[in-house]
Amino acid sequence: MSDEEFTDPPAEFALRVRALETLLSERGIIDPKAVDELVDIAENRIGPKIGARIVARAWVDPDYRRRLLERAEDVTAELVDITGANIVVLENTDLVHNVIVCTLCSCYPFRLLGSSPGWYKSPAYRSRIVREPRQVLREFGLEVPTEREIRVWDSNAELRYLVLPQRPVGTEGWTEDALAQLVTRNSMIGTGVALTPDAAGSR
Amino acid sequence: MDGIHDMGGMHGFGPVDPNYETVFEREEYKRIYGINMLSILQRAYNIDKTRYYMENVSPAVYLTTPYWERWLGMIERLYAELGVTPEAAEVAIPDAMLIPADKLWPRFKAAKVPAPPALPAPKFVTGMLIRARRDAPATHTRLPRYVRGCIGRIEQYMGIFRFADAFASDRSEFQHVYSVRFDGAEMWGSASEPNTCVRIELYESYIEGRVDHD
Repeated sequence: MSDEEFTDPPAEFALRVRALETLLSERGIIDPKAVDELVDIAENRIGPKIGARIVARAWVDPDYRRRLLERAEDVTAELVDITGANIVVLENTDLVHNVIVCTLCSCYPFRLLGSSPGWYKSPAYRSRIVREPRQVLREFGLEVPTEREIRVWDSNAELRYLVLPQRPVGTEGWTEDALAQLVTRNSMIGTGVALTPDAAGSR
Repeated sequence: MDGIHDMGGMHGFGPVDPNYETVFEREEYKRIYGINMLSILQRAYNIDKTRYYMENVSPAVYLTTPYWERWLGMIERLYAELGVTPEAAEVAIPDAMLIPADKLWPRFKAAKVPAPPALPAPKFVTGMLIRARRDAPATHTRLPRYVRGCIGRIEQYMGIFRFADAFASDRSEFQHVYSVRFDGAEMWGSASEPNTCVRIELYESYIEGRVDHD
């Protein structure tokens, strides 16, 4: 599915959505203002910047990192005012590269990363990342050395996973805010790694 | 159910397009997202039912319907079953509540997983080799086909969680959940890539039993 396939607006579909919202609203089941609010939260108040702040703090504060890995649910609100309810943080190391997926639908660490990108929900990603993660990560431009295990986390039940990427070399002494700029969304999904100082400078 | 949604490991979908970022291709999709999220929060229906209804369609329809449009059909069917139709002037959904718009953000920020009820002790412990049950129920399940019958190792006990399969059929049930590791070769045999594995959560009833060896 690509953006091009969405250029012809089907009037019937738009009418169905409007009919549903009107019916639910007239029967007092939903308040359209509450729907507006949920859309605004998803679009404007949460997103990868939240996750990036958490990662940057974990890079500079070993105690925070330990507590985050142990029980993110109780820890994230200290920094970003959003609880990590149902979130488990996975640490990338020299030995293990973690990557997340939901093969059965589209489960995602929404609370800390916001809405998932189109490709995350695509049949190609959902079907292939569990079977051939090395090849799929190559398609994202990421070559993981064979000696490093790739651990694919299928978010099939109640928990949602967030990857803690490795801190890039050459960032000793950087502030948390500067480090957060290196933390891409894909590095927290596992389809990327954090930016190097050079790559960040050339963006 | 063995539907097209259970696509882990399938061939034929082609390369991933990492540049396909769009979340909401149309304004209407935002309304679908918001209506469904609100309906779940207000307890008109539960999230497991939404997944069950979304996957319970013909494979051809699933694959050719854009993501958010699959949600619309699901919401329409769920509300119709609750008696919310243009013909019904008065409707009352048992247990549902109304959440005012200004309460949604505080609730979101402070959300916690509710404490589950107590259960008898877990049957399995970390380190055990187990076999995932080979089971193919017609109703909702979160046990994907690609691990059924495979041998994995319990890496961590995760706690007690709502059992999605039951809630999708309007039954309340909680189970112990384990994080289990399945090596690539166990699932994909000669086609597996070196040094890869899947970690997945198995409800206790998804586990057939302990095995003594790989």
